[in-house]
Amino acid sequence: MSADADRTPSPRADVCVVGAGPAGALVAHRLAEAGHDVVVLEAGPRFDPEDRLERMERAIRPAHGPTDVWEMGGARDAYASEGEQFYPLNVARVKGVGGSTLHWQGMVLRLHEGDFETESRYGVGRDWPIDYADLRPYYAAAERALGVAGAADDPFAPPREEPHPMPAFPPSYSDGLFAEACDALGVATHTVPNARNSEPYDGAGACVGYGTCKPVCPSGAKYDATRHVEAAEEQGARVLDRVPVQRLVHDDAGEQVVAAEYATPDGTTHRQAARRFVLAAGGVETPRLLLLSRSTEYPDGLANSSGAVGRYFMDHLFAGAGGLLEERTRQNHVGFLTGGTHQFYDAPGAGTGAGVPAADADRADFTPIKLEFLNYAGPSPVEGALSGDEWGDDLLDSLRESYGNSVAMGGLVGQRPRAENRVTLDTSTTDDHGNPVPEIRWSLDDATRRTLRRANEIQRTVLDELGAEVTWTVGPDATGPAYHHMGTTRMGTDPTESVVDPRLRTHDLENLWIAGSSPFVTGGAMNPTLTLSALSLKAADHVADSL
Amino acid sequence: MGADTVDPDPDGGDVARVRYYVVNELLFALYASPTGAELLGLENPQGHPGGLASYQRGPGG
Repeated sequence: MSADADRTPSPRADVCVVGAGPAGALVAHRLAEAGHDVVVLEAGPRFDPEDRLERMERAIRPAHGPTDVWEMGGARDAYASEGEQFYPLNVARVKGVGGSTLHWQGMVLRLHEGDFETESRYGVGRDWPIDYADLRPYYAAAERALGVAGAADDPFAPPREEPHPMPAFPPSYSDGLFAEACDALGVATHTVPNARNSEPYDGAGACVGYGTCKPVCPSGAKYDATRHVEAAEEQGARVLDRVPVQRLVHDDAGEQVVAAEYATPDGTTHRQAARRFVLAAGGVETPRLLLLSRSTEYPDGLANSSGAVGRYFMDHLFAGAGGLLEERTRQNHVGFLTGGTHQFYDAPGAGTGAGVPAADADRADFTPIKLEFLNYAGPSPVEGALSGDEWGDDLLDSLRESYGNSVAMGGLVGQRPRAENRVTLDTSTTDDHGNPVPEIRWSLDDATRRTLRRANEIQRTVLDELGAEVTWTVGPDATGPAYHHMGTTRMGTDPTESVVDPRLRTHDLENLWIAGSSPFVTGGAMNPTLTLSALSLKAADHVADSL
Repeated sequence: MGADTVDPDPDGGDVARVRYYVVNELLFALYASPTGAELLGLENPQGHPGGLASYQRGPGG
């Protein structure tokens, strides 16, 4: 969209969607396809797809930081991080048409049945008001929408009704090394599903192996939400970029949102009226916007009668271990994962009787563990060349020494919903429009730390079996977030302790829905985008039902 | 002139810009392509659209 594009409000809109990431794009597309007038308001820019090769180069070349690729940072994106664990918010998200799917890895896994029932099964966390069976048809629809390449070879996956839309990517050479070691230990391995084309799909070609999936796919084979933004526009939706919503305005009775007030690049403020509103601005900006929209009727923030807006912030934690083998491991050809094991997801403490020791703790003492085999262990040769301080043959010798024999396992560990982990407003700092910035308070509890240690124990056991010299481990002391923002407008049936109902509508306002990962009640340890897409499609159906 | 040890910076001083615009441009062209990466045994380096076959192949080819 050019700088002089029309950013005035639509005179008549059935639905106003805030945010053009995967949640907003899927909602907008589904509602526009059903014939409704849809306006999408996106805070960030519309990036030119022609620039992707340049962005890829920026990602590889050492002069540029991780926020440079998608132009995050500055006054627009100011934030505060308080509490025990620092949260690097601006490397954890992208603002723009397509949202964080522009820089995501593209891992798409369904939550397990137990993730919806942690309280009744294990006595920890909180049950969702819906279960896996309720979400199952939406998972299938989300897999078709995103274009998922996967196989039915994961014995630990929840039941599914149809094959994935595309065949799985075949295992890597190093997956085979891991499979052999795991087999000897009694650990089952399998392929992992990707939102990445293993063959042409939905107008995009198959992956060509640029190897820079995260943070940018130059070929467009990795799904990103620009696909559904464009599809929504083809169905008549209007998508405005660089129009950050400043606040939502409700009617005198406090029952309905009447307008979204947004700013334009030329400094004008407009109000977009609509019959229905859908917030889809991610797990940080969605609660922030509700808190910024406080009023006499809602002094603690819009839709916040429960006090739960911003609370129960969750992420996943990285656990990893790696080292060197005395043989070539063929790393850094592609930038995505093809194999792993979910054997310790529902049973993180279980031993195998064949080498993996059982943990001396109950299931309730752990969170889920997802384990993966990396295809890019060790340093990237091109990045090493560009940051080295040698020339010619000396450089080549150093690269030959550092490349070739690395091997590594990664993994995600879950975090329980805790009220003290939260997004609030930092009123001492304001953004480029004078609004208080989001403040993140985040910490790890004992269960997460224990589970990180357990994940490391399993990883080291596998690497030992493989014959690797373990040279690094990332556990509770060095872990960091996976950039999965969940839980900050939790779903529930009780309006005194949740923000949205099982139909994703806010308890407080009868025409306001929330799509995305903020309604998650628990986070499991699976990358959240498939689940947030399924929830968004569900939300869209409920909005359509109301029109 | 120190272009081997300086940090590349497109907006930096003369040497930092030489490292960014000249040296690293050449190194990128070499090592983000099979021409340079194959010297290390890597047929499809980061930055090169070399397809989906090589990641599946073992060291014996």
